[in-house]
Amino acid sequence: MNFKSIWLLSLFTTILGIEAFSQVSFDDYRPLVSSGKIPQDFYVKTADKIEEDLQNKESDLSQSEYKDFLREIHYGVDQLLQSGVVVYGDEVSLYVEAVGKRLLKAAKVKENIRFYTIKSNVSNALSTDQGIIFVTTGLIAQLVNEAQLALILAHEISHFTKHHVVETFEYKNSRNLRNQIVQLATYSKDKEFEADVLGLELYQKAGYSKDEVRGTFDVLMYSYLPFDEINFPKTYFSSDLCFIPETLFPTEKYDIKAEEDYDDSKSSHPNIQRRKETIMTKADEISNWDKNVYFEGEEQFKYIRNICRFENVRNDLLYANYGRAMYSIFLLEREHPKSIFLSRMKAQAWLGISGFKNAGEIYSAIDAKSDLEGASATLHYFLRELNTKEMIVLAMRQIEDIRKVYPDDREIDLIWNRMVKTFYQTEGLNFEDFKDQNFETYKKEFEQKLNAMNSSTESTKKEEEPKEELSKYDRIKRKKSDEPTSKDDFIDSNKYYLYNLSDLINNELFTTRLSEVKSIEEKRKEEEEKIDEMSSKEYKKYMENKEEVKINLNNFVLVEPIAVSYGRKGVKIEKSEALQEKYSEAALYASQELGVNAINVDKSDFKTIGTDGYNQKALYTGLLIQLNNSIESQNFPVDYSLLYDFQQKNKTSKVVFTIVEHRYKVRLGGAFATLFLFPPALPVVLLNSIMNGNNTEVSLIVMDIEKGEIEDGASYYFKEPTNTYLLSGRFYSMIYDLMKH
Amino acid sequence: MKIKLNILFILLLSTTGFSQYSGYFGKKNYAGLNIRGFYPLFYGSNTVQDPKSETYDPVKYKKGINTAISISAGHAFNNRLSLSLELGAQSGEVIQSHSTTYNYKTIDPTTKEESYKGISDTRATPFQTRTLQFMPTLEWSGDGGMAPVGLINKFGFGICRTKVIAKEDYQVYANENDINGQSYNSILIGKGEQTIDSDISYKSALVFYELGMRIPINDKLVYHFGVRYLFGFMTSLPEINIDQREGYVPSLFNREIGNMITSNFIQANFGLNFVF
Repeated sequence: MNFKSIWLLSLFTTILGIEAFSQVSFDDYRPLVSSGKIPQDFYVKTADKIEEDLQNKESDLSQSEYKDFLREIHYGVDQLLQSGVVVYGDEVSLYVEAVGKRLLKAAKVKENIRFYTIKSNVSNALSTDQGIIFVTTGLIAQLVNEAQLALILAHEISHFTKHHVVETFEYKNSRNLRNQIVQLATYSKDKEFEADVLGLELYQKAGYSKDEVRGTFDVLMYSYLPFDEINFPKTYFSSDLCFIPETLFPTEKYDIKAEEDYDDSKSSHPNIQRRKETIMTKADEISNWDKNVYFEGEEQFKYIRNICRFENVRNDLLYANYGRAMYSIFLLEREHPKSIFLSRMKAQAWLGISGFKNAGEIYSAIDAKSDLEGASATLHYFLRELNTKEMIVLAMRQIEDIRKVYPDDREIDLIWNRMVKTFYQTEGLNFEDFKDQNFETYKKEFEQKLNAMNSSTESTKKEEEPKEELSKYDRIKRKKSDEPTSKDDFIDSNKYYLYNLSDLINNELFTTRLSEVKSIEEKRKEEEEKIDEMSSKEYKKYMENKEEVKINLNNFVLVEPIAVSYGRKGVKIEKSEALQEKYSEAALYASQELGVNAINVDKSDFKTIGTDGYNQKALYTGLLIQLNNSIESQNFPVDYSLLYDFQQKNKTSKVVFTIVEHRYKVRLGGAFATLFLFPPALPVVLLNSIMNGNNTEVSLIVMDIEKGEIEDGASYYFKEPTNTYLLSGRFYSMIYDLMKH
Repeated sequence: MKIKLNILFILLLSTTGFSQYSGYFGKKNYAGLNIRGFYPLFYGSNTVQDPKSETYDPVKYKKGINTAISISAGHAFNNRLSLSLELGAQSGEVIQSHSTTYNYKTIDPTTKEESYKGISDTRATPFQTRTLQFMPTLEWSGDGGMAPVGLINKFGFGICRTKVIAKEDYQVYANENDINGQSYNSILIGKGEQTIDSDISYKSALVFYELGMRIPINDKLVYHFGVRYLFGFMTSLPEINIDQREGYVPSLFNREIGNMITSNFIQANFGLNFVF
């Protein structure tokens, strides 16, 4: 081999190497997005998919029953695919596909099976009759090794090869079992056992180790807990500038309550104990087991699992599970202390939980008392114990500490600004009451003055974990005997928090920002009081004379509308899709007439604009999910960094979400009565009934990504048909009103 | 009348300046053409007998649906309220349809024989009428309205002038009866243009309610359909100089006009409007 060949080979290998082991940086982690060519699953219309499958009917169901079946599964799957939580072509999906392909080869499956990842903390995997296998990031975050993933995938592949989904539908229909939960559950459990057994055979054929089978059920049993079980230290939030009394932490331990042998009579899945027994019996019958735990490499598995764990944090923030997000951040920080992503997420979590606390909704953001179990219970208990002022001050402290480490980070700066506003808006919290000395200094002075204090020396070391590498499940099984209890032996100061912002008293940045917020809020209150005293005529004139344009919507992103058309039996899929297309067209037309630029992000364009469009839509849909879960507190967009990239690209920070719902129901009772009581009135009563049968509602909200807030919204309810121009006229009016020309 | 029209128009235009409503694609004004069809349920005038029939024929229906045409223009003040003006033209027919029995005695000048004759079942060719309607209307849109399109409730009050047009070939037939009252002949008892004063006018007022829907075809054109209930009542009657021997009874003729106005009270309305 000559020099040139060697050079070319090494170059080629290097390039391949970069491709194969492209590693995301966890210090500057970017959330998972889709990559590569967009699969057809994501842009073909549901109605077209149903039509295609109808041509290839392979079931014993009648044509209309089969159509009902296809409607159910395609609609359900497409809802999931368009929900913004599914990714394709990403590192996790590619890894799962690599593991899955080995199993498919062993199963001799020829169909085109697609593997997609669901960004969700629910530990689950599912397969569909269309040949799609989904795996959640929550599941992978919990796994110990590749073999466990392989066993779960093998189970799902078995469901697919045995057509369990359509068989269950056939069973349900043939016995009219729509309301017979127990019978259907029994049938489903039989199918689960079958998939377990067949999956095990597939797993063995693929060359994986028998030793990993039992451990997989531990994952399933404890998957509702965080992905690791590390004691949360009481000193975690404490620092020179921040004192936290130990009385806020629990003195009791919260045991893990999970049981293997729960009542599964109404569940579609058998309980863990039964599954374990069945599968281990089968495993013992199989001989010639290989010993492989990894084919794709242990490092690769841990890398992928880490991605999923980082996604866990993001998902918890999306659903406003701030307590869980904070615990996950604590777990990940141990290995990645310099991760700016984790710092941003922590700042967001504190901002979010402050908003919920102020809105009186804190119990939605942390685990319920009855759910406290395991190591994370300490944190949830603590968050529960804090009163409003304590929490807001602690949040301000945490975010300020993060800002000090990353003073130039745009996202952290925005969060910090929002937190200052939250601080100002908290009732009863006056910055003038805060002290310019920290609590330790104050305490020393107090001790000196009274000379009667017993203070226990606080250990500033965080509790150390055993050096050996244990999985979460090993730790749960170990009993810890040395759980310390502690008491506060010095004064019980309810106002300790007044000492926790001592560095901000003379901080120019903070005091300036606080003054700005104060000035804006006072002006706003003044205007509100002025408006309250106006008559409706005066108010109208006042609004007409208001010079400034309400919202600048000259350029905005228009996300694909959510459209639902209801019939007598529920959602009508074909009509909903048609309504969605109609409304999308209507909105674009109205924008054109208004002379504004609407950048359309719509499934119908995905074939041409590709993955970039899909990622945008997914991001904005995620934003909507987050809004929905935190309406009271209007939290910061969790994917801010990605959204900011699109903001720069689209040259606008405004995103418009729209929803349209339509229902047609004619009430002819009045017409019948008129026929007998006063026939001449029949034509108008009948026309009235027919026209008023239409019930349409269109709504719109405008979000500003830059500010991370909902700016405004509009809604129309009307009794007219969904004519394209009527819809377009409404959209025109809504945008016009918001812009206040 | 002209002054009244001008005042109404100025009023309409002057209110446009105060509206902040965006309208339908920024358009709040509309103008259009409408056609109304109506079937007179209770009007006997359409039961026209063939005047040339020599014997008393059963009643025949000559006409079914009548039509009217109108133009309108309006303005939407907000999303629910609009004001418009409608100018309509309607054609119709009136006849005097009643049974007049008139008996008389004749004496043959040669034979000096007495005979008794009579006329009955007077039948006349219909008179054409032209009605002009002028109606300001108030439109109230349904829930979440977007005037001037969508579901609308229209309320109108108007004034009408009905002109009866004289005809040169006007003819009145009657049956000749013998002394026993048995009809044996159909005779022409009157014809010509001077049987009534030419072009007499009737004035009436009307109120109406219409439930309609304006569905856009595009951002400028809208089609309209609706059902209208219309109630009219006479406000003035003209002096009619009619020779009673011809079998005309002025009060009955007036009644026919009144019936024509009031009985066409259910109307279907279709139209095309231009929004600007």
